[in-house]
Amino acid sequence: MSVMTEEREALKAAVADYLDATFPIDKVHRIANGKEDVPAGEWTKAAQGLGLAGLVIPEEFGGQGASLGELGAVLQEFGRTLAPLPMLSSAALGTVPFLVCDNANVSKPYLEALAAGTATAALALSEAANQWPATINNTTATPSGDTWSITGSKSFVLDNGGADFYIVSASTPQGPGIFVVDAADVQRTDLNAMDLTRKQSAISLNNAKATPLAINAQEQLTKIQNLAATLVASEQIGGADAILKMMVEYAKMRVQFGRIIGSFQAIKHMCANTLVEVEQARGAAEDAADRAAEGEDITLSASLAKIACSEVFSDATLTNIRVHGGIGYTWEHPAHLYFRRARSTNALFGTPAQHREALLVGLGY
Amino acid sequence: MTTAIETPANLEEFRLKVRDWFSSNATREDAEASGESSEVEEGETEDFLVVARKFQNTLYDAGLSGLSWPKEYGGQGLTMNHQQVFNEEASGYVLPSTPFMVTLGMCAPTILQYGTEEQRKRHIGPMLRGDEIWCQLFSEPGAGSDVAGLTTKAVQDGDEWVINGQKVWTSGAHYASFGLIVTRTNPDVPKHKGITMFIVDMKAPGVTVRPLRQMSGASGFNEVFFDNVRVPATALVGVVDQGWTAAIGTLMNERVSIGAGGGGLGRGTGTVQFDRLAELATSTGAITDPVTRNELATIWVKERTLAILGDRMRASLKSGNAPGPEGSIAKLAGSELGSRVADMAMDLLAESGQAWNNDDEESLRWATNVLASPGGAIAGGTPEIMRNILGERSLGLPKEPQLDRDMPFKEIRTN
Ligand SMILES: Cc1cc2nc3c(=O)[nH]c(=O)nc-3n(C[C@H](O)[C@H](O)[C@H](O)COP(=O)(O)OP(=O)(O)OC[C@H]3O[C@@H](n4cnc5c(N)ncnc54)[C@H](O)[C@@H]3O)c2cc1C
Repeated sequence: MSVMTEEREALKAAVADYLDATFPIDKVHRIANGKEDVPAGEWTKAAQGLGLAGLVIPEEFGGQGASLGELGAVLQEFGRTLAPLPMLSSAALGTVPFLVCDNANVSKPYLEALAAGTATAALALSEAANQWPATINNTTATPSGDTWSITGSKSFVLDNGGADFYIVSASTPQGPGIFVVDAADVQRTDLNAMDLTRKQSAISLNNAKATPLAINAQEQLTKIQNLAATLVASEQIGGADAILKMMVEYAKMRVQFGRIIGSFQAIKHMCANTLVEVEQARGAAEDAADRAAEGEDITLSASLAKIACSEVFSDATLTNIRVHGGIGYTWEHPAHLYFRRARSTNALFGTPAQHREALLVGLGY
Repeated sequence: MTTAIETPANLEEFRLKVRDWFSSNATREDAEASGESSEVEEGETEDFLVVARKFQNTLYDAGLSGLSWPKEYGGQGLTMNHQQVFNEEASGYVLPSTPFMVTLGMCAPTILQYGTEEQRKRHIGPMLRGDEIWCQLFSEPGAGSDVAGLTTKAVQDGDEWVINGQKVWTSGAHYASFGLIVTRTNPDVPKHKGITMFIVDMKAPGVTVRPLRQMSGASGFNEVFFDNVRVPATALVGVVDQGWTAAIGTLMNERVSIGAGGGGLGRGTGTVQFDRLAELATSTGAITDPVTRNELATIWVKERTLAILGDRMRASLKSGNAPGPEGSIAKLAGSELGSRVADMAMDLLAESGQAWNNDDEESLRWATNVLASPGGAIAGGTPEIMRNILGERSLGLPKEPQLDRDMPFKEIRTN
């Protein structure tokens, strides 16, 4: 059913091998429980070995120069394994704004550090819950001499427990702007996150020194948010696919009433329905990423992908628990790690309800 | 006819008594600081248990526990209309009775129906008074939906039975003083025909309770191991090898109890879930949004419908009918309502339902609720099993082929 190029399939397979070897699910579980840490230097290693950190960064800055389609494919693997590396937070969400703003002079040192895997970035747009696209309400940037300073706050920042720099949206006298702020100039508070495999924070900025990536940047901001929704959707579909496999595997193994439970039509239909939804949503996610790679306007495609992938991921993770019965409801079983990831990403970068509204607006209604 | 237990006048008098009792002995829901995270989660902390016991004690001492239960066993011998009045008056108050749900909703009715006179006299009073908490030792690692596939063995030894095996998902086993256990006593006959039920003292030598953690992080259920646990012959409930009948009785009561509240526990008639959601929607501002209003109204309808169904089920129970397969309607509707409520809260909270500050108890409560909701669907029988029961037993549709039904138990395929 896949329409991926061979090259992309090969990349995806290499990443899958690496993640399966480095982050098997029981290891992810122990990390989520705080019983183990992510191996020190693992991200740098992944950056250098597989070029993951700089996947979409142009070669001139030390990256791989791959397309957003490739990035989507790699994110699927991260979604599948829940690997606790900053692939979505830094290599996707933290990197894409530099590409969209296309301001080589400013971006060069950042992109080089990102590609080398020696620094990570995080995207900080959201200020309050339930706003999509994120509106800038209380973050203001003021020019002071050669530089700018920002005062305000952001929340629900995916920063993997602390990024090296934050990409922050703020209002300026010339409309919304996009800035880079050093971690040292930010006060960061960990939030209690439902998703145990990915940290989130709230940050506050108090006259924080800021480097502008783009001013009067409404268009770029919209693009960044559409891309963010698309990339999160890619990760979601990887998770949903893993869950489909998990439920089918269990349905083929568990015996009740002297029968394999997958032989009960109720269970068979739960699995088949999930397959139907997963395949459709996968198409939507890959299509959106490919259109983005072609430079098309992805307003509609991004919402389509985010709706389809959020819904199938939430549904599939619940169905999976149901197929497992009691064992699926326990802490020790990995099912809830995916359930938590699904509920979390459902809300981030636009809920399905918000994207439905955005869709209709985009369609002219 | 003897003196009427129920007349309009004594019902009214009873109402005033209940009202009075609640106003001086119970906490109003709106006065409660943050509430418990969810029904499934309640009853886990020591504190909660102390509060629940004390509540049940006072309720009993005021003559308000076991309203429709027979007087000779410590009940009040009143009617279902009294229970209904009680429920109406309880509306809006916190009823910390969750730890008694298994005891009063499932175990006590089973003892009443299948137990010996001695067992009824010995246990039902203390159960109604909250002094004895019981647990249900049915599910095993290999026998959940197919609980009749259980392998925990009981072997007779003189005046005693010796139990060996393992149970799992046992809610409240860590604080229960007794358990109702189903065991295999004859593996040479078909599975339903070699099961026997006993009362087991949870403090008996050889009983080991190990807490299990749920996906929400709480530990409400356990695995329980039986290693040569001896129970006296007087602990037998019903007839040797015919325990499946009693087990079905417990399960039917369980479904009514989970879905609609039963066992004379009393349950507020208000729309608790709707109220909480409406409050949340008001605080987020979404209350003016037509989509939110539509869903909120749907939840009110479903919650009220379930409450009405519950009242009617309890009423017909009292008229002497053992709960039938229709209890599965309440169980199904109840768990579907539960996940719908959880989903709506998550929609209303959006990002703040999945990440929150330390001081944000509202988000924590709803997040815990969504993480507990899958358990509500599985506990007491999965939705698939509920639908099978309704299809086959209520509607008389042909049964699924059951390869193992008439085979001797020991020849059946297992995990
Ligand atoms: C929160 C919680 C509390 C609990 N408390 C207790 C307790 O106090 N005491 C106790 O004894 N048990 C308790 N249980 C156990 C509960 O009764 C079982 O988990 C439940 O019956 C399902 O059994 P299982 O977990 O073995 O799943 P399985 O039976 O293995 O089910 C796996 C899947 O197969 C499906 N399936 C099985 N048979 C069929 C069929 N014939 N047709 C279609 N689909 C089928 C199920 O619907 C499910 O989707 C509790 C469970 C939970 C989650």
